[in-house]
Amino acid sequence: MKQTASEHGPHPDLIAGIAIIVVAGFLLLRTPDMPTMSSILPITMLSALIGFAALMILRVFVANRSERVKAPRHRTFDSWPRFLGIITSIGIYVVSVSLIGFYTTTAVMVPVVAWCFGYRNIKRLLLADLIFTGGLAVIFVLMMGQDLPTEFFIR
Amino acid sequence: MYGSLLDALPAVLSLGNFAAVVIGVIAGICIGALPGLSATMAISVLIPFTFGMDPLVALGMMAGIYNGAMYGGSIPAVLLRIPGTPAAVATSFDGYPMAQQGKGGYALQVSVVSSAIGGIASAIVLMLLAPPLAKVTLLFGPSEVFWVAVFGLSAIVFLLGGDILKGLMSACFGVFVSLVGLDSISGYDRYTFGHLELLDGINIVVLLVGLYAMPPAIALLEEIVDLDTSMSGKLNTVSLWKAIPSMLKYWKTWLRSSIIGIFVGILPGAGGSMAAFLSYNEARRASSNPDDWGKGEPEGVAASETSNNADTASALIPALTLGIPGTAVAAVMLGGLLIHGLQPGPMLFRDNPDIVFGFMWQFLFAAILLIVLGGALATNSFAQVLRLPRPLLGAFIIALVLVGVYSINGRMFDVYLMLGFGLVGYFMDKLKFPLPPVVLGLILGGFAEQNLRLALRIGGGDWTALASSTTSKVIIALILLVVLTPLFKRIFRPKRSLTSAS
Repeated sequence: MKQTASEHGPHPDLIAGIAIIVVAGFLLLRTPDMPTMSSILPITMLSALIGFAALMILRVFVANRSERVKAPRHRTFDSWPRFLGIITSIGIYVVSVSLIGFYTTTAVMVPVVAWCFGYRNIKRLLLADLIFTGGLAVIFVLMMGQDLPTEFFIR
Repeated sequence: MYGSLLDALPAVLSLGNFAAVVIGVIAGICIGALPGLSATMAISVLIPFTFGMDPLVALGMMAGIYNGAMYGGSIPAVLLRIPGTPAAVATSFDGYPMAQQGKGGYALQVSVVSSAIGGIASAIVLMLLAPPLAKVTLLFGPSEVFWVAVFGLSAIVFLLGGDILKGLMSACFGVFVSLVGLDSISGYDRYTFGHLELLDGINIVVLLVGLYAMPPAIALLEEIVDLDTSMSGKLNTVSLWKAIPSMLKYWKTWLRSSIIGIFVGILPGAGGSMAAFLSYNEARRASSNPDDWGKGEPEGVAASETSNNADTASALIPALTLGIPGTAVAAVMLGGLLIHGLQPGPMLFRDNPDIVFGFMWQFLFAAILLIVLGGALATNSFAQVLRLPRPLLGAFIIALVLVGVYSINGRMFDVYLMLGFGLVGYFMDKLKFPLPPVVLGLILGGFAEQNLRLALRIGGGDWTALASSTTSKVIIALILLVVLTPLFKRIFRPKRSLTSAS
């Protein structure tokens, strides 16, 4: 089943619940400095988040012992290495846009990413890249006059 | 009341505005045809690009994309049994068997005509119902508006189905995000962590793009899907106009499914897929040959497609009049209105009648254009969209969202924030935390807080003043109904099943 992960390892809801409690608890610590009226809704929302996350964690434990309570395990990743690769690619892309400019980075990264993740037709890739990056340049430079992160060679 | 509706027509018929609807419909069909991409995602990506546009041009594109995508979802549902959008699942029940029998072209023609009929009916109901409803909501004071916001949030959490606990957490997260920035009443900066960029709060587009565009883009790169598109080249279609007379016998199904779709669309929290399933079941029950359903019955395609398009414009009735979107797409569209400085709610009808009524006309034209643009020849072409390589598409979307979000304020900070929301959205999506309550929380959170504090000031700090008017009491009763009904159902369901088992 695609929706159900293997039974090994901690339940994803358990990890999510703990993360929510830690983050919401940290944010809740900042509310005492706020004026009373400004803090009503933040306190309510963060406390509710902590309460619901605690209930979600409790549900995971109860579901292990009871047939009536269900806490389905949803698969978090289709492929761990591919997910890490995607996140790294996006990170490199964003940093490169700041450092070497938008159009240069896009022209290089789009075909590289598509090739790395399975599309290996070089001719079509380069043609699609040319149309896409050129199209963006026409829209943003000629039609909208919008400045995007400048290319390193014209700074 | 309806005079403004006619006054808005000339502007909609101008070349630029009409072209926007046409482009939107074509883009929507292509996007809907791509499994994994939805109207919500497409509109999220589009919104940042519409900043410099005239509001009607931007809204026309959104209306076109919404209508086009709802039909486009049926193309892979019929040809590959892979619904392009969740609302097209029921279409595949009979559409795919028809394609296997060599009647894929006819199935798509039934789909496009039914989609257009559903969309037209929905747009007409939007035009007729929204203006009087907006007039009624003009009578609401701060306490009523606060309760309406609470009702909107509870409705989307409790009626959406799925895990209520996770829905509640999503809503709390959305409301919390709306609180980031300078408190407009006390002037205290909340959760900005010293970043001046956050003083104005978190831009809704940054959140929308992060939540709705990044997870599908990551999924396109992450999943290795090898689609067999051989069927898309063999549609064997005749002219749509020659095929229409043979479809007229489905008029009862069109009527029934339109009513179901419109009703489901108005209900906050329900959506196109619920409308399509309900409508399919009802049409099958009313059919003289229910045993043939699921084996290639064109009426099944007609039922499902009519209702999932009838849900489009009607979902905007609560969105435009009360500021409560009925579906995720409607929530994203509200974001589109907000970035053009248009605050959804009754004031929208008073202050910007040309735009709001023009938007309704655009929905009607988008539905009519489906027949013209989604005709026999075009359907053959749109089916080729399925051949687009998914990794390339994923890379394009990531570049598009980056450039779109950057261009809002011309700063990388928004891009980093969007990527953060994208990562949160990815995990929420995988762990089945519903996303619409987050968007609704962001839209309604600040709005609810402002009105709560205003109502408390008017009432001299007395909390009971919030429930003093009859309208407030009625809305509170509705909230209780929405919250308690699913809980009671959950409590009594096991007992009933135990009784029937014994």
